[in-house]
Amino acid sequence: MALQTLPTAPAIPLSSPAEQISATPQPVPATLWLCCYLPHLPLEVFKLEDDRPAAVWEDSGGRSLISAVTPAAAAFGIHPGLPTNAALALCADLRLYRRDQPMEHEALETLAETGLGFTPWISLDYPAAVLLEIRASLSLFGGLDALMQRLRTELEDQGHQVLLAAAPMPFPAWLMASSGLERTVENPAALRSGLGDLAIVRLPIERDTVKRLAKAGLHTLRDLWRLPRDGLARRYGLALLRQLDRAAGREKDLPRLFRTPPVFEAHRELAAETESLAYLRPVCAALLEDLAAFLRRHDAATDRLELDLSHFRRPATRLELKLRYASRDPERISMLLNERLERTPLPAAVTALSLRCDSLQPYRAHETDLFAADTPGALDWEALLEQLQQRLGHDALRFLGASADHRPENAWNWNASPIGIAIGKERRPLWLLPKPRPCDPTRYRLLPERERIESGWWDGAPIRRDYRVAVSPEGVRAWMYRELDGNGGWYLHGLFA
Amino acid sequence: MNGRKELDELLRTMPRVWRGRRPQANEGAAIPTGFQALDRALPEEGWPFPALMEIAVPAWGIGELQLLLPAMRYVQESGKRLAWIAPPYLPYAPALADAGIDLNRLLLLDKLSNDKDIWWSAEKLLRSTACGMVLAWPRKLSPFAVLRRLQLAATEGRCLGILLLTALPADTPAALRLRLEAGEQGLWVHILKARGMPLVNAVLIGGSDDRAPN
Repeated sequence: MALQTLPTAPAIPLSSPAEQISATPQPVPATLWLCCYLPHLPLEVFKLEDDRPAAVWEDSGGRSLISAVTPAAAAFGIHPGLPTNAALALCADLRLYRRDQPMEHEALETLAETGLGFTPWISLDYPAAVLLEIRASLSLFGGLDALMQRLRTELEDQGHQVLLAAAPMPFPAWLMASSGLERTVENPAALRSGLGDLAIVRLPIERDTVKRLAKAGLHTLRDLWRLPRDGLARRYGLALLRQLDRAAGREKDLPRLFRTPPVFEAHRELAAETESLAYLRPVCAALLEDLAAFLRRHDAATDRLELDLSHFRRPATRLELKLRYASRDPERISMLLNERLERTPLPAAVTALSLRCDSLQPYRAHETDLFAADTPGALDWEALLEQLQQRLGHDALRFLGASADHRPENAWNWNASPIGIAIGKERRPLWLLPKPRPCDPTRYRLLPERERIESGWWDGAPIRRDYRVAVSPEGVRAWMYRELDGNGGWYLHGLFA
Repeated sequence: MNGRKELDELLRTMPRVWRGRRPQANEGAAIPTGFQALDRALPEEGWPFPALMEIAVPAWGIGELQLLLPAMRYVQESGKRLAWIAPPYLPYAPALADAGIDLNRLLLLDKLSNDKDIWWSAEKLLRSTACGMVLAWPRKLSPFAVLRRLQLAATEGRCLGILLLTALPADTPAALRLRLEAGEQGLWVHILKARGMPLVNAVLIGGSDDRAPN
């Protein structure tokens, strides 16, 4: 059969000319700040799960005033600003919570952690809001709408209602979101018209100024923007003008970036008390996945973590896991943790698990040294040692060392740097008995080799011994000595294995 | 001499010729024992590698470590590590250092509470690519399934696993099993089982009892 010659395939152009044109560098796009405003944050931190009327109050100049209400409470006519007495008069069943700002801040920090999954630029400078700079993340998440949708879902999963608005500067974004306007204004020039119908009250300016503006018939920002700037400044002060400029995105606004404190804490309640590892393992795995995600966000690794297994009416069992080298690989940590779990007796059923990790180290990718040819799989080796250590206990893994001492029992040690200081040239047995054992020399055939060791008078453990090599009837070559002081007895000290 | 080499080469390259004495798959992959007589006697011309082997030692201290020291040095020189699992006594560091063992590259697992831990760590170490030779001193006879696992682990991790036992189990998947016996002239190594066919069934190694003083 004749081979059919194939026509040579035409060279495929790498990219069409049209694509090349579209790939011309574009000017660096301006920032785009997404504001997640949490209108019900003061209530949400109390994690109310039913629909009964509830309200949050706070001290305001000696009076306790309602500051946030649930829809059920609002149905009774309770609204923010109402004194608590009046609110209780309207609804006797009203549950009142004192506003807890530290908890709100904590909640915001948790949300900011979530936000770190979208962008590294996060700010908590504005009240009840998380601001994210998302320009660089848009293409990754498939556009602004997709990103907003995802962020909203994630925040709602955590039990928060959000209002989202985006603008080229943080302040206008926050203004829109906090006013309930869910808008996106990408072009700085469009900010003025985008914010035009916003009430002046929303600007952080003095109440008096707002009242004076209202008397002059000025209610919205559009009204102000129609007025000449110099006149506005003269009548109402520079502060108003500055706030207007901020709203229009004319003023440079660099918010402080949110930095998470490098501690990971996670807690999981179990659906039912259990002692079975089969149920604990998946929960542990989930916790470790969270930890791994946390470590990835911080570009860190850890070498120490604590797992608390809570029991009912008993102190928790604490497992402290120390790694031989820092890691953020959930599989590796999980393997070690399981090893420990299997060997930890549980005094009672476990009700909850909490994982804590505060020892973060900069993450370094696996160090592979091209020239360290004498350590094949050094990292595997470390990992293996670690696994052995977790299961067998800390003191099961040993490395021997030799030290310069004439006394046989002092001439070795654990874990020291084994610099081969051999004293003398005499033969030493490969097996040493941890403690010399009294023996009967008549059972052995003594060989002519003999050695006297007399040493150690300086540190209170002196020895004076005559060492002999002897062969037992079984053919065991023994190293034994006769005590020259004391009872003069014979002792077996080693075996020439 | 030359003709024999050619013949060897010819036989080696002809896959249809079965040569009883040497297992073909592992040719040239053995670890020299360091004793010429023993190398000549073993079908693979050294300790089988990678594999599991068993050595029956009637009493500790008759020379079982001397038998293995050259192989240990060989393994360390090739860049691999040694591991000793649950030795019956304390390995004496100065003597080991004297024998040319790099103590830094000798891992000792001590204080193991039971045989299960010994098996578990033996398997882990055998499977590790960093280890070239694993010596274990199990306290009890081990079931066949365990030995099979270890044999597999040794093959996969390219490691020589050596079990030192006071008595051998009846049935074993190990590639080589030996029995040691202290004799007047030295150490008798009885070859009980080997892959391929051993030439002799016992080899005397070492000098007499009086070789020691010098």
